[in-house]
Amino acid sequence: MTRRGGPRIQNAFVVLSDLHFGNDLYESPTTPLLNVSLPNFGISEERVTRFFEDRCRGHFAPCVKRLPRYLRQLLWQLREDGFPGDKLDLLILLGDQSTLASASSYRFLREYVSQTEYETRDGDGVFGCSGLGFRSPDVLAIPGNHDKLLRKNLSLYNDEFTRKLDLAEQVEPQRCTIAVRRFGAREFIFILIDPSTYCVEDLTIEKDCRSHLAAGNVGKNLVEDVRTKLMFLKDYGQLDADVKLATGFSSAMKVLLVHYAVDETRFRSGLDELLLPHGCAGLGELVELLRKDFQLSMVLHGHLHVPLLYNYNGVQVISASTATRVDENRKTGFFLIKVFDTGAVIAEHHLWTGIAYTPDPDKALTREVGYFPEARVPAA
Amino acid sequence: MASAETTQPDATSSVIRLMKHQAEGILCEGLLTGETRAGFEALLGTARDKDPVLSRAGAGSLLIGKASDKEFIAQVATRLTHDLEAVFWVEMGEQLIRNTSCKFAGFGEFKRFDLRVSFIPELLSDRPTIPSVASAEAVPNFAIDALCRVILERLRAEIRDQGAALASLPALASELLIGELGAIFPVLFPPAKDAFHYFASAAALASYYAWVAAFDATILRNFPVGVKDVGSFTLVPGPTSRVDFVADREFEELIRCNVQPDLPHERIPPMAAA
Repeated sequence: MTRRGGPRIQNAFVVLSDLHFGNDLYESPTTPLLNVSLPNFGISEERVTRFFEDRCRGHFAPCVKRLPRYLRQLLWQLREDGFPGDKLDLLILLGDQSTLASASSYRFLREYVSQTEYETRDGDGVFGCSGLGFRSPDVLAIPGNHDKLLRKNLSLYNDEFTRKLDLAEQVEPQRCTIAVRRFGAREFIFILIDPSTYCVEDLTIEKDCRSHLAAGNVGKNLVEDVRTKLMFLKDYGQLDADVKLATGFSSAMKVLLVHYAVDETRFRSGLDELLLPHGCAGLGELVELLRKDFQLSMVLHGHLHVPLLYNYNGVQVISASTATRVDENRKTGFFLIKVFDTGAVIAEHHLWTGIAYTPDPDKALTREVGYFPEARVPAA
Repeated sequence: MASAETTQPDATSSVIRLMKHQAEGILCEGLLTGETRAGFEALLGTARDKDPVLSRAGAGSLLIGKASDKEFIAQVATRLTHDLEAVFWVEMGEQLIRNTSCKFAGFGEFKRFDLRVSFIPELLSDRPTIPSVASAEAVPNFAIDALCRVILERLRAEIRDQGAALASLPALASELLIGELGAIFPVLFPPAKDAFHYFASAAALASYYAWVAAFDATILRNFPVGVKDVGSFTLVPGPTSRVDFVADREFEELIRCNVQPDLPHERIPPMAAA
C-alpha cells in the first residue's frame, strides 16, 4: 500500500485485450459458429478448421459480469492508496474486441464499455450486468485480426464500434492514428496502428487465407504514415487542432498500441504457428525505428492470449492476455498500469481464477515497466 | 438505470437460463468431434447464422444420434459443471450487491446485512423430494424437469449408501451430472428441429440439480465446503441444523466496494495522522 511520504499513484489505466465479445451477454462462448465453407487446404485444412473452432470462441459471461465489479474494487483500493481520481483514467482496448465482427457484438460491446448498466433479453427473459461506464474520450481502441476476420476492410468495425461509440481516434487499415492524452503534468503520445492484412472479398476463404486470418504485415504505407505523423508532432508540437502537445516531444511518454506480438519468439507456438502464422512481419523493425528516431518507451499488444512483460531491444513490451475469454491452459486476465508521482510506471496483472478476478500471484507479471521523462508541464 | 434483475425474486431462473445458453454451445462443440463432425460442419457451411443451423432437423438428428455416447456425455457434464460454478458464484455476488439477498432454490438464501453475509440453507435432506426449480419461461417441458428430479433422487440415494469420503463440490457435481445426463439424454426423443432446445434445457436443469445435490451431500457429511474467492460453509449440527458461511476477505472487499455509493478518501496511516 502506498503511504504518505511514499510514492503516490497519479494515474491508472486499464488494459483489456482480446475481449472476443459474442453477439450478446448470454450467448455461449462457442457461438457464433462461423458458417463458411473451407476450400481444400491440403495439409493445413485441419488446422484452419481448428482455428475457427478454437479461436472463434466468444466471451465467458461470468467474466463479463464480474469485470466491472472488480474494476470498481480496484478503483477503491487505488483511492485508499492516495489516487486522486474518481475514475480510472483510461481504458485501452488492444483488439479482437469481437470474436467475429458483427453489428450485434459491437452494439453489446459499446454499451458495455460506455454504460454503467447493460441490459438485454433473449426469448425467455432479461439478462443484465454492470457496465464499465467509460466516457468516450477515455477510451483508446485498436482493432485486431478478429475485428476484420474475413473482411476486406475495417468498415464494419469503425461503423459499428468506433463511430457509434464516438471515439476520437479511428484506425484505418495499414495506417496509424496519434492520440495525445494529458494527465496533470504528464503527457502520453499513443501511436495506434493497424498492420492487419485483409482478404479480397468479404466472408470468403481463399487459399491465401493463411496470410490474413491471424497474421499481420507492417507495410510501407504504414511505416511512412507513422514516421510522417510523429515527425510532424516532434517538429511542430501538433498534428492538428485536437492533437497537440502542451510540452516538448521528448517529455512525453511514447506508447505504441498494436494487436500483434512484437517478438513471437518469446511465446511458445509449435506446429500451429507453422501452419497458421500469427506473426506480424516488419513489426520488430518498426519498433526499432520508433525507438531510435522517436524515443519509443513502451509497446502494448495482445493477440496471443499470454500475459508477459518483456524487453525488445530496449523497449518495454507488455503482452496482454484475453480479459474475458477462457482458454484451456491459458491465463485470462488484464493489466492495470499505474503511473506514480516519482515517474515510475508499474504494470500489475490481474487474473480470472474461474470464479473471480484477483491480483496475479506471479510476481513476474507485476513490476516496474518504465520511467516517465521528467515532467515539465504545469498542471492544468 | 436499475436492472430488471433487481425485481426477480431469486437468482435460480437467471442461472438456469444462462446455463441453457452455455449448454447449447457445449452441445455444438460436442457435434464438432468424432463421427458427427463432418455432418455438422457441412450443415454450418450452408448457413450464415447459428440459429437456423441449430433449429434444423439435420443438426437435431445428429444430436439425438449422439445422445447415448458416453464420452460425449462425460465431456458435456464436465464443461457444464465448470461453467455453472462460475455462473452460480458470480450471480450470487451480483445479487448481493444489487438486492442484499440472493436466493437459490434447493440451495439456500444468502443475506447481506450491511457488509456481513449470512447463509440460510435449504437442506435437501430435510425434504421428502427435491423441489422443482423450473419456471415457466425457462423450461419447454415440465416432463424434463420431473425426469431430472426422479433420476437425481436415485443418484442421491446411491451417494448416501456409499458412505465413502466425498470428492470436492465441483467433482461430485460433475459425477452426479454424468449420471443424470447418461440417463436423460438417451430417453429424450424431441422433434429433430427442437432437439437443441430440449437437450440444452435438460442439460441446464440437470446441471443445476446436480450442483445443489452435490452441495447438500458434501455439507451433510460434515465436510466444510470451501469455495475459493467466495467463502466457506460449515454445517453446525443440532436439532435444527444450520450452515455457517464465512466470506473470503476478497469477496467481502468486492461487496464493500460495490455497495457503497461514494469512493473512499485516502487512508491516512496513524503516524501521518498524528
